[in-house]
Amino acid sequence: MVQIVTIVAVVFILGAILLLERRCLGKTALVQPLVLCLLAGIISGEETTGIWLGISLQLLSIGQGHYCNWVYASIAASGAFVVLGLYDVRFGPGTLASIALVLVSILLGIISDSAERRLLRGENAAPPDAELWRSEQGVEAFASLIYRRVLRGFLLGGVQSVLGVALATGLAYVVAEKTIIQLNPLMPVAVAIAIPIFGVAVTLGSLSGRAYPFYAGIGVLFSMGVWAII
Amino acid sequence: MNGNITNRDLLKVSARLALIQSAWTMSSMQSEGFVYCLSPALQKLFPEKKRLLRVVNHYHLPINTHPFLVSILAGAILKMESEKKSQREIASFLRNGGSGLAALGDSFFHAVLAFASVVAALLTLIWGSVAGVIALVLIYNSVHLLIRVSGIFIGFEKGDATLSEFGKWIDSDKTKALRTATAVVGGILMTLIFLITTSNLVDTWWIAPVSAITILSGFVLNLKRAFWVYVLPAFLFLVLILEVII
Repeated sequence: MVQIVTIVAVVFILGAILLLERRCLGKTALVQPLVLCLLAGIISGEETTGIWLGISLQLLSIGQGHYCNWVYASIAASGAFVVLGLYDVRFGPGTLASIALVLVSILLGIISDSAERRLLRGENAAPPDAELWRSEQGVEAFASLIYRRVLRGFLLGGVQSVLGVALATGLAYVVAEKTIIQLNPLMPVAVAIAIPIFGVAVTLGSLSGRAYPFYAGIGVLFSMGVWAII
Repeated sequence: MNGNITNRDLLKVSARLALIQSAWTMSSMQSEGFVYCLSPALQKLFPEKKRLLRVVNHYHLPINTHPFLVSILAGAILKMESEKKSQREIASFLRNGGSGLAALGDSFFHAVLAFASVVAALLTLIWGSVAGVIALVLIYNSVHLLIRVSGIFIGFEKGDATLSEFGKWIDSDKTKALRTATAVVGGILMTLIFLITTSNLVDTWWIAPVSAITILSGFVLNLKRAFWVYVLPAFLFLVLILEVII
């Protein structure tokens, strides 16, 4: 019980700070999916899976920054990864459990992004701070608005993180531990390659301009040549 | 009047600018946050409360720019305020400068810098996971922190001539060249993922068509903007089911 309460508290605080970092504190690289998943991999003793998970989410996040809250997706994925690691659940790149983790974290990211848009639309319909510009308090009124929003962001982010990590942990645990099936050994390899390569493809696509796939082709030929020589 | 704002004040504004997105709304965007960030310097420039309230209303318009480049705009605006430029001039500078910097920042920071730092982090993974994390955090943060901190000083020094000065640093030609380089590196990255993952496998013929189909679907789906974001979970769900069946 004490362990569960500690995990919830840690997820709440860390998740709140990380989501706040994305929303308010200036989007530094600390919330990049590769960083979070790599750290989660190191903590849970599965660095390879951490790298794979991180690269996949990172590349997808560069490919399309909107329509999915990638920071939230990475918090859910890396949080679940660490929590399940504490209970000796093992993943591995491309396995059923890791696919479930990527799937649920992207879904949570999409839901979170759409909820945030709805919230902003609601605020837009009835701006709560219209009086601010006429306030006799002056600039202090703006400061208090910012502090209120940061506090709200912290609390909302904490609750969101706990929910996200709980959902991702639950689903990944069910898939990892309760599904008794004989896996085709080639499928995890195919998935382990396909997801990050898809990420690179959509990232290159987002660079806009039809010439970029051509330049990427030059990169492929160059590295194949170097690999063949080595 | 200009001498009233010290380097310390500018640093204070620069630190506050990290919070500019906190009060973001669809109608005013960053304007409330902008006033909060500028307020230490504005209070120094306009100690009289009534005058300060009038000046604050210069920013009662939708302000939207890239959060990493906003320091340049803030510095230039403080210079304009200290030179007592008119509300019209300030509003016009905010509108034109803000949107210009937003477009420049999105293409540079999101597409180029993020991808380039990820590739660099992946290459440093040879020296261990921690090295990869450190590389990503250092490369990405050092570039935008440098621009954030120095931007306010450059903006304050150059005033409304800042944008043309800044345009020399990150112009569209440089961004295009960086994008091209990034695309070549992206190709190298794809090959590395392919070769490293398959290096221990004996029978690999089937991986090439799988990768080719993945790359092709990535490019095709990306033509419809965010369409793939919604298709990917459905595809992963299908893979989960397929793994159980096959």
